[in-house]
Amino acid sequence: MNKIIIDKKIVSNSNDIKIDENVITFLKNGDYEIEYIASGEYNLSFVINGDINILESSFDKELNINNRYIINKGKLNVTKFYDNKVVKEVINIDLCNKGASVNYKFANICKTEENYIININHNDEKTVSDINNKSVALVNSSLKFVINSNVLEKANGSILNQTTRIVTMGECDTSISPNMFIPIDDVEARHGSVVGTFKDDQIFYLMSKGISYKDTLKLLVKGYLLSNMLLYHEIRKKIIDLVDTYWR
Amino acid sequence: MLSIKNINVFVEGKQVLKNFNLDIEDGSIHVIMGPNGVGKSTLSRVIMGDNHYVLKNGEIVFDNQDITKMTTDQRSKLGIFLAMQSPLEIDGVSNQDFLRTAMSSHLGKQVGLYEFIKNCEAAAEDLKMDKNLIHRSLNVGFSGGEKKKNEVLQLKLLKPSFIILDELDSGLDVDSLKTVALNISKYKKDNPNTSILIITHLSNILEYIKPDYVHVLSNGTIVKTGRYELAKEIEKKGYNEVIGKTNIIIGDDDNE
Repeated sequence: MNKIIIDKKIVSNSNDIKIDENVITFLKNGDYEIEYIASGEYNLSFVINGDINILESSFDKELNINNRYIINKGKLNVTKFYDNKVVKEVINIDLCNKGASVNYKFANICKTEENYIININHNDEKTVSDINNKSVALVNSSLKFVINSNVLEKANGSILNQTTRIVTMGECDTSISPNMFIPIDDVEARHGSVVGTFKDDQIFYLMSKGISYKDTLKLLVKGYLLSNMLLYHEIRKKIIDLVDTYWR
Repeated sequence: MLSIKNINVFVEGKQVLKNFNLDIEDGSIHVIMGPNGVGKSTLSRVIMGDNHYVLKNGEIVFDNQDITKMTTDQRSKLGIFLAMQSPLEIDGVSNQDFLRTAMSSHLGKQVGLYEFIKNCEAAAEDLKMDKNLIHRSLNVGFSGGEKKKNEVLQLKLLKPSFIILDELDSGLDVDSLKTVALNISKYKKDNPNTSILIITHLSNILEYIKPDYVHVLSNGTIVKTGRYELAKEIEKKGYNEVIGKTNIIIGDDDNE
């Protein structure tokens, strides 16, 4: 695993990436880990020219991020987990050339205030975007998602998917705005947005086997946050420990 | 063991059980039969404490304790087990985490991984169940039969003293029905004081688990009680003829 530390400056000991001020170019296909270890403002560009898997994480920070993924060719898989104090984040994903593809999976626990804007730009034909966000909003938190999929007229045969779900754990201010701007017919598009609590039936089923309400929530939150997330052991363990702490 | 005294149960304002009474003694096997929609599954949910079902009066006593106001998990820890008609699929929650948490809750201490795996694999083998299902998301992608076997696997691990089988036979092929029913019979033989309440609209499962009493439920109340022969009569003649013929009580049950 190539590790990239995002501090006041970008630090990495990997020869598989090129760092040019705030632009990180991935030179080889493979797995990369990015961790934001300091609070602050970040304005980064990631240049993708092949099949790249990025695992991003950040814990207990105040972040103001405006990042861009430039996918010239190949497939970018992003798996990202946040458990921060405050986040304001704008993500731009440019699918620049024919066949470029992104699979973006984000999960977070929102404690106070977090705002996310995700812009996906289908700039050429047969580009594919699959955007999945899943959040747990703690009581009294504020969590907003705006997801904009933009399709250019020449992007025939493109496939777009947006799925966002927020599980609320009490009174909180949440919203999801899924937008798809599609000027052509030859596009396959799907979106789904859900805000709500865990299903009563699920809670009853687990409690009917002797599991307390608190432990039931722990099981459901862990399952929800970790499912379909390609996380290696250390991050996975960190998330499990976090859930155990929040629902102590 | 379990005594249900004069309960009225409502769902979304509609009455489902009316002045319902039932006494189940230690070690006995009772069957509630009836066509679809008469309140059979409601009964199982009410015993287990599903708060979607509003109990307006009466009480439910289990092992001399009034459980009417107890939470669902408390009832389970007292020894009541509900094998559900449609076990839920919960994506992301691994069957293993779920089973181990449930076992630990019942025992009041964390179950060691070795002990858990050993018990789990032995139970899965008894049920002719694919051991890999233990590591998958809870019931997700399981066949109907696998879901029911997973319920019985839980039963074998949690070792309840009162078992409710809600339509256990639905979704099971003949071989799977035989396997799960024989596992339950074996459990009952090993734990003779365990009582069982079987909820069904068919009598197939009763070939393997012979009941002491058979009750027929209609419009939210028990209209007829008898022995095993009553189930066979229903199978032969259908509910309309059996319920419509008479309301007299067959056998020596005095609950009604």
